[in-house]
Amino acid sequence: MEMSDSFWRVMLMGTLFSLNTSMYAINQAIGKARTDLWLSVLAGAIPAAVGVWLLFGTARRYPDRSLMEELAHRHPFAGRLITALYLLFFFLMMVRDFRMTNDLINMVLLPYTPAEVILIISVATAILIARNPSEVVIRINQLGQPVFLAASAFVILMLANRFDLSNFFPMFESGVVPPLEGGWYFFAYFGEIVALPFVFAGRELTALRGWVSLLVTVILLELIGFTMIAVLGIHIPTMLQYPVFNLVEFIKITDFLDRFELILVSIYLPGQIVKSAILLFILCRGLALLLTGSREKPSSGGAHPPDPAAYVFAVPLGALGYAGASLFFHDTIELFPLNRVWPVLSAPFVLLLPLAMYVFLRPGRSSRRS
Amino acid sequence: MDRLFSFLFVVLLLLLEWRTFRRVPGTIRWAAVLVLACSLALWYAIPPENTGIQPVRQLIRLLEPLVPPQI
Repeated sequence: MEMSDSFWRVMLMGTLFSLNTSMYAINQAIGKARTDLWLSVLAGAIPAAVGVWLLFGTARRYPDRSLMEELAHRHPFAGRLITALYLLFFFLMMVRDFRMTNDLINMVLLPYTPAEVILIISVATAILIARNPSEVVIRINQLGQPVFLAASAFVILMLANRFDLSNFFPMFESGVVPPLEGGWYFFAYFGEIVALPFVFAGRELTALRGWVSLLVTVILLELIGFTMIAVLGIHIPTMLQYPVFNLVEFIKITDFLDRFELILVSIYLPGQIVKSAILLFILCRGLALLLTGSREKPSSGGAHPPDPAAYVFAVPLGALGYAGASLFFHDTIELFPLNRVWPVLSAPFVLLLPLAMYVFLRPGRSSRRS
Repeated sequence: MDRLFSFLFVVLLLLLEWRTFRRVPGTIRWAAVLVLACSLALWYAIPPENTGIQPVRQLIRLLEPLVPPQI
């Protein structure tokens, strides 16, 4: 029973990190892959799956602690350096996610509300979530994510009456290579699942659970991509900033549910804020670990009070994230060139560092040395 | 106006954290104060219309040569 609960938690968290933001890459991927988006999704998932195997396999060696705690404790210099690099990466991810969420709300839902006010409410929510014990932070994702996954799966059914299957032809118009190159845009977003070993204790993480999360993400993204091309074609999505939102705008379920897309957005947005909150939670604990080097209580599997040394950073780091999300970006459009170079930034954290840790980080060696 | 609003927000959150700040070790407390000071300095020292600070643009310029040319 406990195992299935643990599996469910890891799977939902994995989809939160790999699926929610990858929807922002669909327009650029369609621009590259044209009608063969399905191949881009698969091509992006394969390197991410390798990263999951390496990092989850490493985390599995330390059943009682999260990877971050083990790194800081067992390897005072190299471990803390790697932790610091990952924290920097997660900070950039958090800032980008705050910005994405803020822009989506500002453009789609609340165009007359000042962007700073929307951002401050998102950041305050993330801070209040991140101040809680790890058990609460992990479980809060279990409220909305299943509904979001179910809604994503049903989008194809709700739009089936608008399908134009001629949009899928000609297939492989420019060969196989461009669709494979389209996987570039998905790889980094799928690879964000590497944040999980920094939240969960090693006993909860297996490569299989990570792969199942990725598989669910790939299936849902394939369904959404199929629906998008069948309804909107291949030219319109490349010109839209939020093509998934524009896609669900086509859903009309009776006159009463004329604005059904608002319900779907209200399911999606809490997930984005929870993701930012989990990243803030990792940053708080990581910074406290880097400064004190102390071993915390087990990170999951029990309801224990949060370490004040960790959550005292929630407000300062949240404020830094707020300033970053407002000032680091020149404009909203800058997220697109960032998407293009993001895999270069992401690859060391998804593939190279996990490979190094998989080879060199072994409990036996550290124990003998100590 | 939004700057005043954000200042009040930070003051409110600090009131929320006041007891925690007093309980934690000195290193942690001062590190938290430093991070908060950096974020406030960043927020209040740079006017929102100033486009001089653009770390994301710098990051894109830095990483652009590493992107495969066909992408």
